[in-house]
Amino acid sequence: MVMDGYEGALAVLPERIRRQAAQVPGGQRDRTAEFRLRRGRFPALVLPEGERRLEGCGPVGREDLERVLELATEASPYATEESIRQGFVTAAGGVRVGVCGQFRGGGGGIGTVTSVSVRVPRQILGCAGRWAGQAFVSTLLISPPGGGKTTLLRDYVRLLSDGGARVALCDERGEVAGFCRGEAGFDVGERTDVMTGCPKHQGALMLLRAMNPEILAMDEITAPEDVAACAQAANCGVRLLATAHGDGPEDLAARPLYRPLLEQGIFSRAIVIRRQGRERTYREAAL
Amino acid sequence: MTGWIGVLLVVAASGAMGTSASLELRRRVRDLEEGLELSGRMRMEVCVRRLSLPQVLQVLAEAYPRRFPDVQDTLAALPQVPFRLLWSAVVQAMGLCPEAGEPLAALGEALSRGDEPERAFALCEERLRAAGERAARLQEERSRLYTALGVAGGCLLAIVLW
Repeated sequence: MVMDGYEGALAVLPERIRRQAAQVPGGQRDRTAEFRLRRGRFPALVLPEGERRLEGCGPVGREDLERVLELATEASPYATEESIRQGFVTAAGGVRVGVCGQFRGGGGGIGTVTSVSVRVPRQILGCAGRWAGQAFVSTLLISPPGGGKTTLLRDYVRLLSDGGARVALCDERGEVAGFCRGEAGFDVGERTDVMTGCPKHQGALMLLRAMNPEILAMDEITAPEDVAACAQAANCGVRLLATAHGDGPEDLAARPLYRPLLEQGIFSRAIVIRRQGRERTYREAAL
Repeated sequence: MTGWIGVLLVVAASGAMGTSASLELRRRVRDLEEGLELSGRMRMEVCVRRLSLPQVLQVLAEAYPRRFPDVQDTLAALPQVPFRLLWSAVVQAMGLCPEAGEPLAALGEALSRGDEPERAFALCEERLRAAGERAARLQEERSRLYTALGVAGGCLLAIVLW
């Protein structure tokens, strides 16, 4: 069962683009992963086979991009300035809006926005079902960007949590649980405690200290601090569920950031996601 | 007798006009004070509690229901209408004098545009304070003068008409 975030993604598009995007036929709508708006270019849908122009819309203007930011931040960019500085905003329903443009010096974030990407969040209930009955060991979900790591992580967290485990989810960008004003946009399970809005490594340590989790879940290990937090959690006897960009364990082993994770044996298993057209295949590998 | 009643009415009407002009000065001072109070409340919600502007509007509507009667309708229009237009309509509906309304309208626009909040509030409050001082000075100088001029003008008119 797929819970579609397409409508949520439409809500952050400017009116004229939203009108056209609402008319996209069902088949294409289900496959849309992102909307791309680039200044001076035509709005585009990102589909598994590539980008396709959104018909019936003129080129994107400055006002369109400003409107996206206004809608994504509820006209309050000051309230999300930390995440804007990092190049994204998470809107209601876990819709991640990536922001790109001319950077202001001195940590001032994006000054002039030149393009945005609006991700369509999806919850595919049961996509992690095949692992639900198994005893959980620390697992790393690996795929290239857009492969469905976050979707799998979300469902795996839900199933583990509903299965009786106390799960702590460190959701830095609010994308996994889709948090907005304290309410989760997605079902992440009965026994899941979610820490959102703070850097993963800090959030992970706070969760360890405060929530006594059996399983610690986090999206996208991208920095040495995240690796250190994983190691610390593993040393405390907490099992881990995390995601990483890559083609597989061999690819991760070749990268200095991930090598310590593999060398220290923090994760016991990898699930590698491959996307072929609309289908996803999953390959398990011992680490 | 009728003549005297006429004189009385002319003087009273003219005096009332003078008093009304004087009350207008007082209202302007009060509006500017209220503008400052609103800005202070908004500053706390934005800078301390980090609420979003729609949330701030809801807080203000609860605190000042007379000034913000249709906030829910306003917020419902947010997906269709740019915030600066909605905010400007909200400020207009508050019925404050232009000297108080304009800085508040500019404040909402600046915050929604991404200006640094502390700076936006400082600018707004500086404008309100300066306008408030001017209005208070004007009220002090002219309040009695307007009433007296109204009564005197009425007397003059009555003499001319007599």
